[in-house]
Amino acid sequence: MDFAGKTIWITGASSGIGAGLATACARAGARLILSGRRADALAEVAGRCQAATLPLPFETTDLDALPGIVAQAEAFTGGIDILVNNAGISQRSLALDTDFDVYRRIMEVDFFAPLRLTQLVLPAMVRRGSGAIVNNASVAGKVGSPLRTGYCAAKHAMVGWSDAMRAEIAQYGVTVHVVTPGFVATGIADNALKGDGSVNGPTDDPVNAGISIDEAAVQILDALAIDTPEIPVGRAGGAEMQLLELMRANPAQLFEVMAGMAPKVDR
Amino acid sequence: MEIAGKTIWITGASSGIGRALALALAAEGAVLILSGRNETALAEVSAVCPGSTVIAFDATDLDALPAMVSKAQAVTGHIDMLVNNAGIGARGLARDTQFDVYRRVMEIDYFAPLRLTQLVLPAMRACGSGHLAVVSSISGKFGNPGATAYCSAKFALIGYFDALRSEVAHEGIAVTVITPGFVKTAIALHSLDANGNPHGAPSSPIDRGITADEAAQQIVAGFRAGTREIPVGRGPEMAALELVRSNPEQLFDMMAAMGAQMASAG
Repeated sequence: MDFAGKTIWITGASSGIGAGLATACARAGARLILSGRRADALAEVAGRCQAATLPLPFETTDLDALPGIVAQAEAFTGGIDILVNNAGISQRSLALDTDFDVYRRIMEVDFFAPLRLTQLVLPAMVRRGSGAIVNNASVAGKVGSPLRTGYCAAKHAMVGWSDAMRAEIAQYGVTVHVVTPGFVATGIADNALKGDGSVNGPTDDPVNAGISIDEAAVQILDALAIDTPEIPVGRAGGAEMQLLELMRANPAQLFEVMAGMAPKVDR
Repeated sequence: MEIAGKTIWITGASSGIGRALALALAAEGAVLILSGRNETALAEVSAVCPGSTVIAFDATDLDALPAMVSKAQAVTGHIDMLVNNAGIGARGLARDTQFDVYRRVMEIDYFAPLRLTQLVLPAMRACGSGHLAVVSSISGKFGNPGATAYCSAKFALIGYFDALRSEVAHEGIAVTVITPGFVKTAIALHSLDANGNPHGAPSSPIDRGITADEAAQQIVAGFRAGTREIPVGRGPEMAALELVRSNPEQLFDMMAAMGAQMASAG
């Protein structure tokens, strides 16, 4: 896949991996549509992109508004070549402490919103016979991990949907890519939901010691350039990246490792 | 695990794998609570499961669940094992599938068993033992064409239960994920189509699958052995479970070939 001259739409572009991807795509010569909820932060990221850029703020979970947003995005250059579903939210709470509504909210943000956006963007790609859907899942989309029951569910759902969709649309020249980042130094842990739905706040979460957003973006673009369907992102040999391998090689052992990682709380 | 004398609650017990599992567990001496929507069909299953109790309810009526859980817990005083088996299939290409179908399938196949599990879990934790089993599907392990909605929900179930297992293992609570391949049940008939209507037609691969009784035997053997993942089936579809681990890209190519075939078949 080539990025020069392509129109790339990135959600969750105001910070984290989305912002890293925006600047990397700009350097690769792409034209960018940058989405997120915060117009000021998007404008700032757009200012760092040496490229034709359309900041397009919207609330991804306001599904009724999406057709209008998609029309605006398509009008920017006449079509979307690559859609990067990157916006998402994480979780840091034990299942025993998590309100049911938190599961609904996470599924809404991490699965239903990107699904609906893709449903609206895909028909034009299929008609044109080219395009790419890049879904930013997580290691948690492959490996069930403690403190993340709802996040794992939603990210697993994203992977299942992506893999099934890939099988259906490969024949039309539209590719589907699943990105599974491990620890990347972003605000994801600080912005994660706690069991009562409140925001986690500043933490010493291991993700904070992960690779930089720029390094993550390079890994993603390098893998997309050679049309890789599954793109793990993280420090080579990092503990969380080894979990991906172990899940494939020996799930029973992986389950032991994950159980060992769970906090033991007296009640 | 030991099955005799255990109180086991099975959802979706009126037909298919749930019904067969009820009969198999009853034969092993379990005390069963049988749930589903169809009270008449549940009564028939109950009649051949000595000592069993029927609690009929709609699993997606989440507000009603706390009362159902109290009822179930009152049968013997506790639930040793919950088998989240109720679910619905969905068939249709993504390009044709209404967004609300994704919501409905997620509601039935993920949110309903999640909520029931949430309500059963605290008592298991309090007594320091329990067993949660969930019937997902091979479609919860690899994406296949014509099943975007079903794969999403069945993957979600596995993500939730694998994560939950890691959190509750030290509380003495076991989690078992069951992934059936083709089992001869009415799942295809009841599956939602792209518009959310019952598919209403059989599926030949499913009709060539193993019987529900054989599936139940495989599941019971897995319970007895304490396996955390129980694949169920013996057709070529089961090889895909291995391939997605050993060579996912090859599996993706195979699935894409199936997808192209499906599209040209209309």
